[in-house]
Amino acid sequence: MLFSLGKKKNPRLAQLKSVALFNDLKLSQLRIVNSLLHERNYLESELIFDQGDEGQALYIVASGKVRTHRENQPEDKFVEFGPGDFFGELALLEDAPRSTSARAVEDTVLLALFRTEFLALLELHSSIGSMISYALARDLSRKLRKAIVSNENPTNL
Amino acid sequence: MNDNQSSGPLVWVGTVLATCITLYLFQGILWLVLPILLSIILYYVTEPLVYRLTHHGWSRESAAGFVMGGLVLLLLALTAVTLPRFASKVTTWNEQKIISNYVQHGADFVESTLRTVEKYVPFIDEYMMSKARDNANWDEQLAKWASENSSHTIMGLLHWIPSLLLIPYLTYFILVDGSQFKRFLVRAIPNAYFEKSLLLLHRIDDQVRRYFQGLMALTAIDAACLGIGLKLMGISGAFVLGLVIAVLSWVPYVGSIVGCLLVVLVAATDYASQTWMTYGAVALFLGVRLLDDFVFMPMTIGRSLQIHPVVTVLMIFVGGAVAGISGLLLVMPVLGVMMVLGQILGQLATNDRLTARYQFRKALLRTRAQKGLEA
Repeated sequence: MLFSLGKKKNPRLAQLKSVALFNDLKLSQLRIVNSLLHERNYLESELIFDQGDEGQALYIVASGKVRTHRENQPEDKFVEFGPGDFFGELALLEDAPRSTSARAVEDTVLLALFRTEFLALLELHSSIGSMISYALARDLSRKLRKAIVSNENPTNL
Repeated sequence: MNDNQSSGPLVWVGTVLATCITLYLFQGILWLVLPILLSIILYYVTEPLVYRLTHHGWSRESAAGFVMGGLVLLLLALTAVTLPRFASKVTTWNEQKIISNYVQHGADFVESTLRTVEKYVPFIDEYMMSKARDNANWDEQLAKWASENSSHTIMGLLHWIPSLLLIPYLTYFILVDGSQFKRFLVRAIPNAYFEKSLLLLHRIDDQVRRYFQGLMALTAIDAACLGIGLKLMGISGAFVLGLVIAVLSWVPYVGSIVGCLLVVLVAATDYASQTWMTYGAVALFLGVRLLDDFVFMPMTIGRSLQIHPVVTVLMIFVGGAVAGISGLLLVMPVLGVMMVLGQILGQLATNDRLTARYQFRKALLRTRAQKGLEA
């Protein structure tokens, strides 16, 4: 089919397996998650989202590099994300404005997971949803701990 | 929608124009448009069932196949039971002049009502009598016209069967591949508008789903109330009549008028000598309509389309003028879709930051394309 991802061997699945968020998922579960992701291509210097935007999606870096930053933030505090990393995860948890802006540092391919689709996943495939939620909580906890230890605000959420 | 901004006059003019053009174009492919529209309605109605089956471990394909297969089998069983009776009736309708009989009794009822009014309001008497003299045999003419055209109308309706057979087929594929197709379309949205567009699309999808599911619930409640009421009054074919009237009320205002006419015709024929029974049937119809407006509709559909009644009536007339009966039927769904598109495009096009981001990407692409052109 023109628009189907099909059930053939998909190199994307191996890539997804390496993402911390999906580490615990089986191949069949990854296939379900993959069917929910939206692939987007960004050019070097292109803005992905603005600080204050209505956040709706979590982004996973498939290739390239992304930098997130806040307004008036010194450059040394910018946070960079490479292949396998994800950012904008707070958008999955709450309907709140983005706390940072994100920009592609080089030509980048991102995979977006929308909150509404994530919520449907939690309802329909609760085992997958709970595993992703747990991984998300683990990641947030790690970031929070790091922020507390370094006495800083967690800027990369 | 949560962030629903009121549309400006330009968006409204564009919406009305787009609706008229679409209706005009749809006339030629009505055989395809109607099944697609009904498939979308059926998709929203059957989707919760497919969702529940999926929730219990069924694959999407098998759940959709089971639901649509079950529906088709049910329809086939109903057709097998009712078709022979219907076919035999159709062949005898013309011989026995059943349709002209209904029209004749309806006309008799109107005449009897007028006489009653004349008795109590004398100044109307003279006016009505002069009118009656002018149209001495209008009811006979009407009955003759109905008799001549009934078989053509029924045969015309039978022509729709092949294209209506498309409905379960299309619905199955919308159920199975609908989300994949949506993702395919989303790829065409520029990066700058991507997140906002998807959010709006989701909200619209949610709104449309609630509207159609509510509409089906409302139709079932209406049909049941009318059917039970008419049955208790002893009117023939009460539940079929109730269902037909409930479906007719999908067309705002005009559908209710036609539904009321049907009730009058059937009740006046069943109780030709007891006029008060026809009044009773009309009272039942009006009672259900009132319940519909004040109790059932807020419970089911709510005010989801949020179109002003004056706009609704005007658009029905415009739809009728542009595309005849098909225009009357399709004008509200098409207007709903155009309003949604107008709102989305309006919100996206008036967002300066998103436009700037879109322009910036284009500039980046242009710079990249120009690289190496200068010596």
